[in-house]
Amino acid sequence: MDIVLKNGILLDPILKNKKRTDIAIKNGLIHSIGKTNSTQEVDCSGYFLFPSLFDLHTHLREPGFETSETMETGLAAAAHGGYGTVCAMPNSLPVNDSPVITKYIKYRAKEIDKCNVYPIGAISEGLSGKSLSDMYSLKDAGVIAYSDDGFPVENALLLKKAMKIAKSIDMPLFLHEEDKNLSENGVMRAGEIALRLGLTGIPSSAESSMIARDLEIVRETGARVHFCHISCARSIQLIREAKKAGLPVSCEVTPNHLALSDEDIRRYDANAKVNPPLPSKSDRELLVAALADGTIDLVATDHAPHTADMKAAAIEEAPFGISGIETALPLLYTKLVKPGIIDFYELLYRMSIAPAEIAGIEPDLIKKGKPANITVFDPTEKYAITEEFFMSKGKNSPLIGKSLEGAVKATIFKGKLSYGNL
Amino acid sequence: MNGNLIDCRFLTKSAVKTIVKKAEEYKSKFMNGALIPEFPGKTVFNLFLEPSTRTRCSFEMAAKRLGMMPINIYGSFSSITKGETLEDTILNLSKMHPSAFVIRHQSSGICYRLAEVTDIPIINAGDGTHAHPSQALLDLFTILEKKRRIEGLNISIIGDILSSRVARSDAELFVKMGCNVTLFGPATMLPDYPFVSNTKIAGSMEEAIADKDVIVLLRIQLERKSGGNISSLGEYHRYFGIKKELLKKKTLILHPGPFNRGVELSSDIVDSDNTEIFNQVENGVFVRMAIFWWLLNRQSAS
Repeated sequence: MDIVLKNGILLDPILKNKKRTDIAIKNGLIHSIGKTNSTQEVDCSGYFLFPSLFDLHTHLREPGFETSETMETGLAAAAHGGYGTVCAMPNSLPVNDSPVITKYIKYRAKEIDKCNVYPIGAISEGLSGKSLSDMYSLKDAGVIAYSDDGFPVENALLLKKAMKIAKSIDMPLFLHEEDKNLSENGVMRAGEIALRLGLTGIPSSAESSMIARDLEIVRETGARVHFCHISCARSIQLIREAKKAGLPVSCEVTPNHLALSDEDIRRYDANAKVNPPLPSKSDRELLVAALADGTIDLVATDHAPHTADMKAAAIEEAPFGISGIETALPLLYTKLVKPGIIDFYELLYRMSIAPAEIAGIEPDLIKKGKPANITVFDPTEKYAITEEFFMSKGKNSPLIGKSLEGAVKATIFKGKLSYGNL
Repeated sequence: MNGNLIDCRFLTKSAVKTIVKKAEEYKSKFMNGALIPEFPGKTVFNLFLEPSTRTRCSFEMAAKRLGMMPINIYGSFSSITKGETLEDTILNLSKMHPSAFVIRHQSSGICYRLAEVTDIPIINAGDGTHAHPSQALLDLFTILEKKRRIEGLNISIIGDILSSRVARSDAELFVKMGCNVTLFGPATMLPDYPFVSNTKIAGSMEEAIADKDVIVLLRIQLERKSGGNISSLGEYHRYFGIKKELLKKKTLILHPGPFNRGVELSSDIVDSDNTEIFNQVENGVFVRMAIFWWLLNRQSAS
């Protein structure tokens, strides 16, 4: 026996039940569940144990932007956040629009071996929005979806062609929905607060109008489309209607959009500048409700690390993005689970099983014979978020200085600690 | 469609058989060294308003072998560039009493419009993405020559189906003659709606190739307009190109040309026994002679 996790509380996000038990791990696999005695045991009493989380939307920045993040630091951060799998967005440099880059990312992930990495290929060559990427070859090289994330696919005909090819080879598209003309170089959600601050606002129609357009194209092509990081009431409504009509669509929301709102930008903090922008307070409540009722399928981090220098610029100049993969679970535990808004099983389901299904990957489950990818979580620990908290190179978080409850104590990946010590 | 050959839809089965039979007769006569000047002194206008080498030469050769005097008109020299409408050009040329017009144009359906202003027979030598009936007839002739039958054959057409006049004419003709026709290509090059009735779209390249007596390949052009239909010719070849190892020994490969080695098909296939591409070109002249014969005979009969 390599190790036995003693007396932990095993949470099952599918059956939505818990039991106090021991988990024995051998050769990277779950050897048994149930009372086990061993000399190699660690006491997990009081800790929750559950399948490691799955992030459908991560920016690892490598290759090309290693000052912001490397795959080493990004995957260390993922493990710190309780994640066992991440899907890497293609906006690296070079862009992941060819099998060479896909294979490089997979090779590096294997080398680092802290977390599963599934690359996402670009829809358009170089994210240019002008011509299609090598969609067929990318699939063969191992991408699980296509996305131009960071940019919308403005040319509707190009998107339609991408949908047709994706549909013919049974692959999904992950769409960043934004009409760049409507968002007009804005920095936060258009509304009273933006006005008061004198900042250019991004109206929610910048997002919802593109979703409306693309749902019409899905209606014609039948392609599987997943809408990234939705952030407003109209988007929810459109997707709810589309699902009711039977269209093959899904969507995600980020932890930040569930837990924070535009009121958190009052100090011109560029660390709260994110695209799409943090929602209004009322939209935030609707996002939470839509996650609870299933209109929003899952939580994805949109982890977007940037250097302090880049974020130190004036808010108009600073890049969009929040370093969020390490705070995702504790933030939602604090803001949604503790107050009883969403139950923890449901949240875990939306952070592990649901995203795996969209990616077409078999989810991690804590079952005999499965890879031992387990997150150990202390629900009682209270702590303040500081820059030192982050293992990511990106410390760009609006949560710095805030207190959270619930901490990842350890993450086990293929039977070995990828984060923490027990 | 009395007196014209504009597409394959209105050709009767018996007309097809008559043309094919005549083409066979011309071919065997010619191969035995006979001259066949059946229409001495007759004139034909070849209006090629879109670039073409093979088809234009083939029609010219067919006319000359029959003793006719073809007159070639190309887009850049014609009065078209001087602002005259094509209808007016045809009206003018009709007054010179030619025996036929052969027309190649980039606009789908143009021959139907022109047929309304003239009684001279019109042969469509390719109009936009609509039809190319003489190509379909020569494809049929080539298949018959090798397979000795047509009914019940399994035929695939692979490539840019959506924008191919050859695909449409071939499919119409092959279905009419009792073949099972399958279409395939990248999803962006396939039609959204039923293309030609009684054709089906394959789900994969394997399905498109399996158990086929004949595979017709279409020329792929890397069009950059609106992002193109596929990222590169290399990607096309990898996923939709015909490679030798995929082929059965008896599968015929046809291609209307010009073909790209290493795109629609690998180079070793071009040079293999499967390929009928060069025979298609040879047969094209005899089939076009038979088309002239068919139209000119009908004209004199009426």
